[in-house]
Amino acid sequence: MAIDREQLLHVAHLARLELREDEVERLEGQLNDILDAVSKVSELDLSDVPPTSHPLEVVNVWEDDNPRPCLTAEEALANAPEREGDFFKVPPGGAT
Amino acid sequence: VIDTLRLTAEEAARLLRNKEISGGELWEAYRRAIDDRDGDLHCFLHVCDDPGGDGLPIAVKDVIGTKGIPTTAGSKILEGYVPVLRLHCHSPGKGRARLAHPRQDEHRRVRDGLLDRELRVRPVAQPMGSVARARRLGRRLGAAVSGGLAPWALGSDTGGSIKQPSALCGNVGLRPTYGTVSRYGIVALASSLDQVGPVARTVRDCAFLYSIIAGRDECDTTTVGLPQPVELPEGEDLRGIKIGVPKELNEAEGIEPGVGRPCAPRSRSSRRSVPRWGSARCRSQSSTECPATTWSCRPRRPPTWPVTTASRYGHRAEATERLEMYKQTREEGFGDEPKRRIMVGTYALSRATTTRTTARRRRCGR
Repeated sequence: MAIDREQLLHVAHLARLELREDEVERLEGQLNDILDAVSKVSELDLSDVPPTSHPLEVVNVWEDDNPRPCLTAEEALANAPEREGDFFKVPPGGAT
Repeated sequence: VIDTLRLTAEEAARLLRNKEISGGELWEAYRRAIDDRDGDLHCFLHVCDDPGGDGLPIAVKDVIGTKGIPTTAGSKILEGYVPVLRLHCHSPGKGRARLAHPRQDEHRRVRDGLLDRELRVRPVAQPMGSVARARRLGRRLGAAVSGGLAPWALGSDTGGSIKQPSALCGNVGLRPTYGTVSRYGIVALASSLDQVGPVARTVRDCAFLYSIIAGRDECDTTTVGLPQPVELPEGEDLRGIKIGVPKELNEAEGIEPGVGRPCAPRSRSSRRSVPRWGSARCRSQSSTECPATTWSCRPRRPPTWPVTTASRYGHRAEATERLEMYKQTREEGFGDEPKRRIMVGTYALSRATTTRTTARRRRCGR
């Protein structure tokens, strides 16, 4: 596992991050170091280890389907940087 | 005179109950301590007004969202964010809801008013971008408790932000078992690792706070009800208690002198009041030791910083076009460390190997 410059810029775009040139260079080294560390896990022999998805005995937790109050539109919009009526307002699209 | 440096939460609750002090006086004592000392300690980002009532004040880490109180994780990206949801683990109703099965009368009364009166002070952080942001937040939380600026605190622990600052600040901190405390309303770092937990000055205070925040929350489906109520320890006799120490952790590089030795397993202790020590190695022992402990938290950040930041809350950069707005907002709002984590996380999640990696991770103790 290694990440090159092109992949790095692609990942940055997926994450909606605009990286400066010095950040690209620094991150390339750091990310590869991190991926190296992570790859140590593949050295472990885990054939007889059962997977754990949760430390407690919890399987398919469902709540009863009872209606209850939720946020009002005003509450939901309270933190909006910009709004229009009952909607969050963002700048127009373009490629995302 | 209330000596906030020595007062425990339990003692403060007793004084309140016996009407030896009023809620207002207690609040005022902590406010004064903050005014006097926080200039040096730099613990708090936000100090609330006295909400009235007879509860105990509490410091809350700035990642734990509380209705009506600014919550920013010490980061510019969440500038101005004021949660509209009430958090389960310290909502006032919670103290009452659990009154059905209190263990002792004194706690019943304390619990009743306990959380109606939160000091609602929040530890400040360095701007996001410092290497150990979350941990620094935790450290400030620890400093607030040991510095007498709050009787106790709610922190969060993803990779050590309760445990380590508590150790360094001389406090008692608990990272609860995953699933015992609701994460509803906290700013997530890694959702399958984050846990909210208590920081206090004594074991009893710590257990007391834990007994209040633990339990099932219908808004967090990973939580469970505790099989039995939390018991407050009555004495200092630890006989019969077993403490397991993972060898790898105790042999890791960078352990401070004086820490490793007392933690080293002992077969038989001469002092009767100390617990029995045991040690264990990871099952799949090899030259790789315990890598899961060092990387498990890394590739997790992106789902927790969705594009809803900037569009629905938090900081937003000026831009005429949406993609540019997102990128510019993140440029202005994130420092190096969150960017790094987001990059690692996005890379991991964008790879076809994710399924395989996840399967392996689940076999490595997450």
